[in-house]
Amino acid sequence: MSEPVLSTRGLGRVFRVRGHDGPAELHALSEIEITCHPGRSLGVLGESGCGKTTLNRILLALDKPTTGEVAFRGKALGSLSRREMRDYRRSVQPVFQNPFSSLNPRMRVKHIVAEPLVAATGMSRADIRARVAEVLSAVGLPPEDGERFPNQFSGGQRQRIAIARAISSSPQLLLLDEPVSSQDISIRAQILNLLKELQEDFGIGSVFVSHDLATVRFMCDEVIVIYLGRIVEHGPVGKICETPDHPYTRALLAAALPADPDRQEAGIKPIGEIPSPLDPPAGCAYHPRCPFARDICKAERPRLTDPGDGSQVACHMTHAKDW
Amino acid sequence: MSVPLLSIRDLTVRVGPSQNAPVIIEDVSLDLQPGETLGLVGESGSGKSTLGMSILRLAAPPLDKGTSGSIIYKGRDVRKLSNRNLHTLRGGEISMILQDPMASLNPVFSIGAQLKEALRRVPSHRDLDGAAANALAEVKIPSPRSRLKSYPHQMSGGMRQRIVSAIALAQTPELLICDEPTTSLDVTIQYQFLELLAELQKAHHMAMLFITHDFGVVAKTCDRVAIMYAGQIVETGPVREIFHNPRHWYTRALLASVPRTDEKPARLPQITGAPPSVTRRPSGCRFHPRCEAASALCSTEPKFEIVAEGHALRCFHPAGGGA
Repeated sequence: MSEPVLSTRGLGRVFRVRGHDGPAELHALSEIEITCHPGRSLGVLGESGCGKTTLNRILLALDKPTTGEVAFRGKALGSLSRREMRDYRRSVQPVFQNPFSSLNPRMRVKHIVAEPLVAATGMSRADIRARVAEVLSAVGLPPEDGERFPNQFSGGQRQRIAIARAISSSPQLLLLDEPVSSQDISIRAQILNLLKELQEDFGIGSVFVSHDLATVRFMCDEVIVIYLGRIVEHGPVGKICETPDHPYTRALLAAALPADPDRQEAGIKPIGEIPSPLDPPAGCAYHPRCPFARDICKAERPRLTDPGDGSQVACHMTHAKDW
Repeated sequence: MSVPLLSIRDLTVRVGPSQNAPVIIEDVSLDLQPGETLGLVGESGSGKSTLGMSILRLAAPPLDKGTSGSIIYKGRDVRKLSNRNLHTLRGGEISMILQDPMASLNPVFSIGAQLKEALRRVPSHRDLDGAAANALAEVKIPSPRSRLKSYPHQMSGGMRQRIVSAIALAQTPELLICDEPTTSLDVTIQYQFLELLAELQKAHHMAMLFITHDFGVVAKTCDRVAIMYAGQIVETGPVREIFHNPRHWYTRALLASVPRTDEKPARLPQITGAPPSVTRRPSGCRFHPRCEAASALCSTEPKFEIVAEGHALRCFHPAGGGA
């Protein structure tokens, strides 16, 4: 496989916060290992409090990890020169969830889309103008729309503008943070198709953050499932969405309600609440919600290991195979 | 069929009494039988929330003034009720759960105080604390007695939504209007809340009007479904019939565009364009500018016609037909 654009090793982020009784540590992320290749899409599946946002911020170099590191083309972010850092910013571009807050209302669309070009490339004005028109038509907007302001567009069109901005600097990796969850249902398919088309046409890789198994199935090649800041399962998208091993992934599968009243529900019914990341359960963090939990799950944290098919699962019981 | 619990006829809601005022809901008629669940599906701006609010006469005053048609609940027209009778209807016979539980609950009063405010209206309750604790136990809040003293901010989103349902059910209503009650919840929590709602519905023999944009939720919870587009009901029928044999092109296209966990198509079937804003709705069939089957006829007004038992739609060229 080609050289990874971005990879992380032993990534962890601890926030020092004021807890109920004195200062406390919040482990937002622990031991996150991901590898992003050009042209491939990695899904990050998790619910609120799992650390998706922190991961996104670290990958965008808006926040620094407490342990481990992010490497850009094999070189740690901390050791990049200014010039290389500029190249990093050009190569890794975000699309956020809500285009009503991610587009500056006082900037014309052409300036919004040109921003990454002005900031991270040395392109001339004329080249920038041509590039803006090119990417606007690539996302399905007429180039004249460049003269307008964000409030003149619908939610779906705004998300197209955000995508145009993200691809204008010809990035190698897109960080997509729930890019369709704020969109109307008839618009979602349009945006998902557009993102997929752009990734295929330009060979862009992506990290696709979502809580919805079905969207991940459509968009991604590979998936990591995060629960309370740790990877609990990692594998190809087909396995994660059809025959997952980890009980949490199986609960997510049951919770992804199929749009068909006759289809039998897959997975295991989810139970219990998501614990506070300030006070995570000992052992396997999922054990209070897990119908298979045994004593070992309460005492010892399971490691990510291969259940025998090349994927990775962090679960004592999956490996025990006696449930 | 038995006498409907709720019967809405030719409901039209405008922004103000003028005939030229923008129309939010147009010519909506629907029946709800005792104990059944009707799903109301639509995108933002389709008028589905306004419809829910209008049933309880809770829509903003200009909308209330611009309302025509009838809303018959148990033989009485809600639109002709005195304020005193409306007061006993709201919460007493028809109750409501809204999207954001934090906005429904008052942050400065304890859970117990807010629950007792509703329970106090039931004359048979002598021991209010006991009744409140029982109500919390019914929605599966652990250690209910001590929880009565908690405040909304001390609870998770899923728990808050359960508290809201306990308040909504305090006076044992016969109709519960749920306006996207799970949109703000995590998927594994949504699943559990839907199961709880189904249990409560059975225990209380309530009818439910379930407003949502999620077809998975409809498939799991509803008996019948009505699809709204640009202020009109475009198709309605039993859930199985609508999911397996959608006849309106909007319903059909929308259902086809939803990603699935068990399939990975190269592209999702998508609907072009965006839903029209309230002031720019097209004439004739509201969907015709986006419809693949549209003809010249479609710019004239289609009638709402019954095509099979309980299955009706507003379309000149119904799709399919075979089962």
